[in-house]
Amino acid sequence: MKRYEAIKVILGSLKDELVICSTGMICKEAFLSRDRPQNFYMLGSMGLASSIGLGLALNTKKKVIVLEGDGALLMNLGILPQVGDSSLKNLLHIILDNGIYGSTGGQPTISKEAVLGNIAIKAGYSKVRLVATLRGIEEAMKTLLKGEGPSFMQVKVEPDNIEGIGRVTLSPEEIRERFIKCIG
Amino acid sequence: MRASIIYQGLKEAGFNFYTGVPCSWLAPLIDILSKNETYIPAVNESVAVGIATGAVLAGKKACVLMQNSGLACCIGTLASLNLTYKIPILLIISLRKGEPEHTIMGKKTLGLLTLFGDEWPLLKEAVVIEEALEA
Repeated sequence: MKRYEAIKVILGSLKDELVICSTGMICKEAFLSRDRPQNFYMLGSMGLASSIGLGLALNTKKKVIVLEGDGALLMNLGILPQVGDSSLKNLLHIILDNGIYGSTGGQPTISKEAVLGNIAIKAGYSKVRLVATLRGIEEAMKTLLKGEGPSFMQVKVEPDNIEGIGRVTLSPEEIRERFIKCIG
Repeated sequence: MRASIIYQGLKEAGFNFYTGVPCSWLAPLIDILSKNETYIPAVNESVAVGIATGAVLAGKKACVLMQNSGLACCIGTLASLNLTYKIPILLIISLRKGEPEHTIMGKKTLGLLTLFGDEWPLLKEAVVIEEALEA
């Protein structure tokens, strides 16, 4: 399964949920597959999508989804107990795990050595899923969007980028403004 | 200065969401905030800035507390997130400089804020409290 296909299925399963997209390829592929005002494209600040998602989820009743890579999570692993401690019911944390830093040339991460789902369980997430197929994502999304979190879904994807994919063409202010309007 | 005076000022200014990483100088203020407001103890300063930013997106007025050593840890986040997207948060930073581990950062802290002041006029204004707060 390619990351782009996984992102397409994840975003395709959403209604008005808020999504924080991590920097680099995840932003670009989310923008290409299904741009929506509820997507906050984090153009920089690698590793912090989950922190923003946490601050957001604490202050809105809407479901908040964090979409980040294994490299971004490993950069900031302390966020797992931070989320666990918050007992947030409306947070779904999705890790697109390709085992590499895909936006910077494919250097390996250490995600093979770190069983991220197990760490999430120990850190206090209430539901944890590991999926490796598009069908698996569809089924997990149905359960996790309905149920109470904090939830964690690790998606195993191929180390693969879309050749020549463009940047997000919105300015940071545009991203912010239309996102804030969705929260209401 | 008494922590309760700062807390009163924060309330009057409408701040209603707090997070941060502790400093012993700020301990009396963190104590008041933890008892009376939403205060999220963050695992590091960048996470604190990220959490506060998420809260602002959801309509809160957010404040982050940290030591100046922590400012050094989150300056990249402030630049690429808050200054880039123009998402304001209030930083309360203790200006430690006496001890060996604080000497260099203590000398550079205000300069660092001034350096970024061109990008964000608000950063030009700094109230300096160079001592531990009183309970």
